Parts: sequence; structure tokens; C-alpha cells
Amino acid sequence: MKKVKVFSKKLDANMTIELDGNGPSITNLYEDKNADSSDCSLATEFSDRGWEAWMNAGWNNWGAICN
Amino acid sequence: MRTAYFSMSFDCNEKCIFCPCSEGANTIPDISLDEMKHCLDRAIEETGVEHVLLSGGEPTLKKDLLPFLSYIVSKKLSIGILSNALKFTSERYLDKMLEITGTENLEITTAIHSHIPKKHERLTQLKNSFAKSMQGIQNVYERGVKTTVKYNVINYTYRDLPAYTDWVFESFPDDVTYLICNIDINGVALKNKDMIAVEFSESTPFVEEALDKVIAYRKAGRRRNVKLFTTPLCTIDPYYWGFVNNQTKETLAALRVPTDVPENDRLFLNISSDTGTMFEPCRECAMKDPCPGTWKKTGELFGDKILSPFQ
Repeated sequence: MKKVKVFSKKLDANMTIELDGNGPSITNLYEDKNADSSDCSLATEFSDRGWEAWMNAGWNNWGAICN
Repeated sequence: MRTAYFSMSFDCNEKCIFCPCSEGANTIPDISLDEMKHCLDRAIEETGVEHVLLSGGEPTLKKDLLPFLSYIVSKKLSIGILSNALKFTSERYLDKMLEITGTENLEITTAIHSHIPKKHERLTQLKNSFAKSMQGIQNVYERGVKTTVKYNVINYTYRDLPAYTDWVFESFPDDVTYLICNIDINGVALKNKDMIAVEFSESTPFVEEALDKVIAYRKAGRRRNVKLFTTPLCTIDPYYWGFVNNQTKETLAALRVPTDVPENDRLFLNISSDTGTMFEPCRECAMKDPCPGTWKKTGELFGDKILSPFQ
């Protein structure tokens, strides 16, 4: 699984993104399994996982593309 | 979902100054019903299309819309219609259309360009178009059709986006989806680029402020699906990536919007997309796969400097 380090200014924290290529939701990208909790405050920020999954429901959905 | 995108007719009842079609596009002969059916048959056979998105111009002005909808329904595909909703102020017309499509597998998307009627109408160049589009949306919603309101990020209005977001939450029930889209600066939009085009570095703070409002509404118990389109991941803080929609790679353009090169206007399938991660910095970017990229013209207008690849 490919991992990418990104920095969130909003959270003032590093995040490790895991790319599985065909994930149905970018929610997967927020799982920082290797970082300790202080390195990925996003997991804390989105502690309500149900809410997070709902928020990301649009990932990879279809939509209108024209102006 | 694999989507076939049809620009059915280039005729329109508004004259939006950010339209990606070239001036005079409405003089281009429409694609015939038989051609559209043939296109769709090919799309189904060759690519396994599951969804058909009808755009234009304004698709409700196309006289063959209803028979084409019947054909799409006969193929058991879901349907999206991108419309200014002016025609849906006629309940008779709307009900006739819904007799064909039903409401289960239909979504209608309407762009409201500003929550300030005068600004909306400055962009559409059609008096009373704000009130009429709002009435059309209401008619659509009241009949149980999945409804989406769309905002285009435009230089003229992008600073209003946080206030627009409040207006969306005040004006529409939570099951109305809210899209925020960066637009294709081609055709008429390109001619008006000083009023229309805006760099990500300028618009992003307002987009993020708007999304902060969405998050606050959700934490307060509101539930609305909100998506951000044609926005490269490197232009917005990772905190907001959950909103970024990456559907362009799933979209197959069956007909293309007219450009200033008429021979490129017409059919067909498998044409290269005008959006994506097609820019020089994208080549080495570690986030290229999940990123939707943006419009080709945006890169041409503002240069590769607007993008910052991830290592």
C-alpha cells in the first residue's frame, strides 16, 4: 500500500495518506495507522466515524461537470 | 458510476457570460435523436455506462428530449439533467417529463449563481431568471426528484461563497445536494475571463470558509451532501479533502461542447477529457490517482505554478 505524507495547515499536523487505489471513499485516506495520535489530529477531529463516512459519501460519485 | 455526458443542444434560454460554449454555438445543428440513440448504444456496449447526464445548452429546449428520455429509461439507466430549471416552472411540462422518467432514477441539477438575484441575473443576462429558477427547483423537489443546487466559482461572486452557503442551508431542505464547482473557462467564459476566471490561491480561502460553515452545520445536526468539483487536492487543505469529488475519470463525454474549432465540436465517444490530472506537476505527484485535477484551460490560463505536487 502506497503511503504519502501531507501537511494540514488547518490542523497544524502531518497526516499519512494510505492509497489503496480503488477505495470507495477518501475516508480511508484519513486512517493513519502508523502515526501516534499527536501526529494525526484528524483522527481526533473526526472522532465521529459515522459522521465522517457520511461527509465523504460524495467521493467518486457521479455529478454534473458542465458550467 | 460510469456516466455518459450528452450535450444535447447548444440552444439556451439564458445568455450566461461564463458559458463554456462559443458565441454562436446555438447555430450549430443539433444532434438528431437517432444519433443520440446510436451514441448511447455504443456507450453501453463499449463502456458499460450506467448513468446518462444530459446537458446542453439547455437540454429542456431540445424537442427530442422526451423521446430520448424514453429511450434511456428503456435501457434501464439512471438519468441526470443539468438544467437552469426555467422550463420546470411549467408544472404541465415537468409532469409530462416525469411520466416518462419517474422520480426514482432521476436527478436534476440547477446552478444558482448567486444568492443575490441581481448578481445571478447579471451572469445569466436574463431578467427574473433567479425567481424562475428557484420556482423550477421547488417544483422539481416537491415531486420527489433528487435535487441538486450548484454553485460555480466565478471571479464576480466567489467572495460571496460563505454567505451563499448560509443561504443554501436556509433555503433548501437537507436532502438537496450542494455542489461547488470550478468551471471551464472556454468559449464565452474565456472572452469574459477578467470577470469570470479566478486563481485557486484567491478562491480557496473562501471555499474553505464555506466548507467550515458546512462542517459547523453538520455538527449542529444538519445533514446535507456537499461536494467540491474539479478542485485539485494540492489547492486545498487536506482537512477538506473529504468534500472533493473525483468523478471525472468515470465520465465519458458522448458529445462535446462546441469550441471555436467547429470540426472538433461534434461527436463522439472516447474523446479525451478536458479535465483531469493532465498538468506537468501532476506527472510526479504522489496523489495523482485520487485527485480529480481540474480543467485543462485553467492550467493554460494560470500556468503550472498553481499546482504543487506531493512527494
